[in-house]
Amino acid sequence: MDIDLIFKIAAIGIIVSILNQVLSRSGREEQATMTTLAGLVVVLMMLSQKIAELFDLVKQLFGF
Amino acid sequence: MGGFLQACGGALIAVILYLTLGKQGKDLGIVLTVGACCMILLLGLQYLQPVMELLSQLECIGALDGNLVKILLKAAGIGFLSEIACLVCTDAGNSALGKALQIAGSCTVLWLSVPLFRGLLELLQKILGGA
Repeated sequence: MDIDLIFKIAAIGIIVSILNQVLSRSGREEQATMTTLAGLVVVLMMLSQKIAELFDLVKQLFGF
Repeated sequence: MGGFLQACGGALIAVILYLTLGKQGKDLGIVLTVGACCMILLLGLQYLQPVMELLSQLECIGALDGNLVKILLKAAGIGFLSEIACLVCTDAGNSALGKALQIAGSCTVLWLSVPLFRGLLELLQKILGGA
């Protein structure tokens, strides 16, 4: 089991939430939103490979 | 067996990390849940490989129609995927999307089982002697 991926996602989440707080408090709301979006895109890019792997496994197992 | 224990540990760690992210990182928390689900399912589904081989052996021994067993397996796969996706949508607070996905899965299973119903209908017509 690739537990590193879960830790990576959690680390990105914590960093993004800290940046979001800092930027929001300093009055840069739009930059905070952009940071959250960038974090989400990075995490989704990491995850899409695993989702494709899961779908391939299900396809192969259940004969899709 | 070791894989199952790994999955248990991974799920517990993922839940704790999800709670750590809190309200600020709720969107990334959902992505974390999806990632953990993927990892656990990739681990768990590997144990199904020998079961599928056994099923194909039984199919050969019982001289069953291969297409019928394939339809059953496909229905099981669709049900499994739609259930997981529905639960993730519900967790993310969008239960309407989850329900729509479940209905779409049910429709796909019904579409898949049309040949089975046709076969049953033909058999009934033969038995009853209808046109």
